[in-house]
Amino acid sequence: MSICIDQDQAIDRIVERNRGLLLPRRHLMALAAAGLPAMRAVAQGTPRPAGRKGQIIYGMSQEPTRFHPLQARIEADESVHLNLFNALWSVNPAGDLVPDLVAELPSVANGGLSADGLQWRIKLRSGVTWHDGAPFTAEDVKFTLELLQDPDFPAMSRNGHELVRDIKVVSPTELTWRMERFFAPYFAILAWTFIVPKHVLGKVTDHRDPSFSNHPIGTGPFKWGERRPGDYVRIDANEKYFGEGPYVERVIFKYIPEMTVLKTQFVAGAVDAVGIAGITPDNHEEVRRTPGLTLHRPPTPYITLFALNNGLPQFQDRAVRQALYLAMDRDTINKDLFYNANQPTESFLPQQSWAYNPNLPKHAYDPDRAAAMLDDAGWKPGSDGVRAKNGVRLSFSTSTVAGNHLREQVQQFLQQTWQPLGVEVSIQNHPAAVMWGDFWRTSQWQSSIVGSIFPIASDPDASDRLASWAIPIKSGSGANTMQYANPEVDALLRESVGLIDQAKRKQNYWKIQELVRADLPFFPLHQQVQAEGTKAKLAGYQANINYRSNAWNLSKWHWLP
Amino acid sequence: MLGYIIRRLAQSVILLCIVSLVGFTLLHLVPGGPLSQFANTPGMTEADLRRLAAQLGLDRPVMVQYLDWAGGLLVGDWGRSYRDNSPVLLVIASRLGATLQLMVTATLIAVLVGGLVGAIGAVRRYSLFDQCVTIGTMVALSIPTFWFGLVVIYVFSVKLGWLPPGNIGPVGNASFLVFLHHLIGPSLVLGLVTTALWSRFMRSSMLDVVNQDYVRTARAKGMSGRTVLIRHVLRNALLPMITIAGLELPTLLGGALVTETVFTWPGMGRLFLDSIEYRDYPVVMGLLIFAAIMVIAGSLLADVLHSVADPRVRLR
Repeated sequence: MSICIDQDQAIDRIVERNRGLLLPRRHLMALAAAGLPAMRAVAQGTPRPAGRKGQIIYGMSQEPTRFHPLQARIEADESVHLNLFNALWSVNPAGDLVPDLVAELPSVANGGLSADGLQWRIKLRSGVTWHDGAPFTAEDVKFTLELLQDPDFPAMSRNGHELVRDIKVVSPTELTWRMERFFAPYFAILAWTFIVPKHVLGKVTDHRDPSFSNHPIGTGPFKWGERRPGDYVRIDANEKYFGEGPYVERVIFKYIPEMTVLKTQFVAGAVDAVGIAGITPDNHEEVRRTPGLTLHRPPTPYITLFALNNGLPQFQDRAVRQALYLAMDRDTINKDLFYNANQPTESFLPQQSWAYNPNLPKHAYDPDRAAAMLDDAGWKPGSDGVRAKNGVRLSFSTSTVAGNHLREQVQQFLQQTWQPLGVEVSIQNHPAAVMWGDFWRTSQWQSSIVGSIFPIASDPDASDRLASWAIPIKSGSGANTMQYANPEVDALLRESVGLIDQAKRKQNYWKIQELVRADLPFFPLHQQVQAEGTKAKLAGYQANINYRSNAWNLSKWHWLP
Repeated sequence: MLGYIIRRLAQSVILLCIVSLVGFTLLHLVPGGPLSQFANTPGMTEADLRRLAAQLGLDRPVMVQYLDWAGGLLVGDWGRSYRDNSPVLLVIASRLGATLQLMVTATLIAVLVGGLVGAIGAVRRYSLFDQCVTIGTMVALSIPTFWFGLVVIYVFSVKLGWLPPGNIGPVGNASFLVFLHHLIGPSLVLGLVTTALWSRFMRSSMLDVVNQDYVRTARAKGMSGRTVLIRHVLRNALLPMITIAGLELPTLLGGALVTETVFTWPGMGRLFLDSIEYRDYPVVMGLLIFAAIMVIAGSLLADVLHSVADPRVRLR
């Protein structure tokens, strides 16, 4: 049975982790049964300050500009959303789902889910109010899910939501719905789906009307303060927040467009924390040396890839892909060019995912074997030294965002290391807006260095990027711009999202990772680690790979005396 | 003169049409687009991106988009930013204040210091002072602003702690003194380059006048050097400065891309860079039209002022 059991176990694990803090486990279980807020209050390990004090200036090199949490957004927007709004449940750093607006996670055991996973019954936390004082009810949840299905609404994604049918409000704290088919990633997707107020947005007919975005109303630990475009967004403590904290009076998301300047302002003390897009590797040492600052180096879900456009004839032959990977001096790239700041990997899943397969074959640098492989496969050097087979030359261009110096160096390095193998690489870089426009989406590129997130929220489903039905130029949907297609992977991906049994899902994803590792539609360079910083006296920072921003728990941040 | 102004304004309308058409077409012909920022967003698929494009009207032919946009402009609707859905005029207005504060301060420094230095340099041509100023201005013009800004922040903020490391001020209501404190760094950095420019303008303008016959005549009449300098040389040398000042108007309101970036100054320069980066077409077009209007207004203003200040110039 199932994900339901896993979720029950997840709650158990949360309790388990906090065993021996103050109460014996059975008392904690009793508290958990009586209501989760009690459990959460006990569960916190470090002493919390009484009352609220001070403010946090949180620096980012992206500007948050969109505050409707269901519309298309970038990471910086998400940093703000995470503190203004709540989802039904959240994901903790270990990847467990934790009740947020629900009183309990739905499971078969508590009647929240039918055995086939199609009927959902959601019990909401009572006593939650919106920032404007209106009560939060099941009507708001229904409204949110229906809004996501509204064809006129510019939703960021309808993935999973489009399967929800017959939403019925049973009482102000209870609602039910039916899923068209069981879709395992929906649990994780809902952890990313912020609930919006019906009493405010229900009246809006023009979805581009900025009034809500200019003054968003949520249920979160902070409420809207003000925005100075191009400068900062201020959010103020919500005194009526149902959960823990906040322990500061306000948070200011400060937009500092230039990363060197962001670091300099951090060192000079003008910002208290550095979030997106972090501190560049060449500045780690300076931050480490500066008294009163703490450098954090949390892994992110981004995997840096040398991606191939598998639709091109030169990449159709698996021997070519394997030979190129063999002839890639990945260690030197990671150690010398990327400052050894990231985590080498063979998988497209972050190593913290429950579905990560640690047993994939390790990359080995062996140019001689690579040459032999190409010889065996019939790729013979031509008069110009470039290998060819059946009229296809082993020549391609590689692209990345112009001005990304580290990636540009990797391109040059690969150009040089592959050249003796008889492979010709040209470099064709573009500004970000061009690189990630039609050029990327319609697979006009030949190869590229890109940082990609494969899973959806904390769920390992990577269909959008790996399934053959998700190739945009063929199907008009998906995000598989690498044009990777393997019928076996397709079948496993399709089956996995419908599986209730998480152990079986895990087996499938392990197999998918093995197949992708063998096929090499892209060469995994590393899982990105992003250096962030906080002032040493600022406590509460906890990286969470399941969100795109480590500002996910600002309500728990506080100043040490 | 009124007829002249009306004629110039009529020409401006045609000019604006051409500028907007060319700008709009070029902007949309450049590869990439406002959806690029979402290309790697987990969960967003091609279908989501296409729906978004349709909702923004980006799936229509460029000419249809242009006519739609231009039609809106005629009735005062400059469109809405793709980034925060705010009306473009409001977006521009929200940045104008910050830019004005910075640019006016820097320009004041430049005009006063640059004008003085340039005038002295012209009077004492080839003196040690003049040579030093010439070298100094060359250095100032050659220093990359980005680097210089970072050095100023490093020395005066990080090391000495005298100045704030950028920003227009602390969040919330700050006193005027605090605001001035924040203004020192960026306006000095920006002022350095413009001071150098203005001192060169002033010097060459003065030199043009110093050798004129009427200056020699004035001296021959027995006027003192100082009186000649102030009454004849300076007044005449300032005339070309009016034209330069008029042409400076768009720069003044256009903001300083680099200085605003280094000092985290939320002005027009930053807005322009961000809008280009995110391909926020309505805002980029708004800025383009705004800049075009400023150029037209600036040169018209300079011509009018010039004719007022110099009775020899007649506008017809």
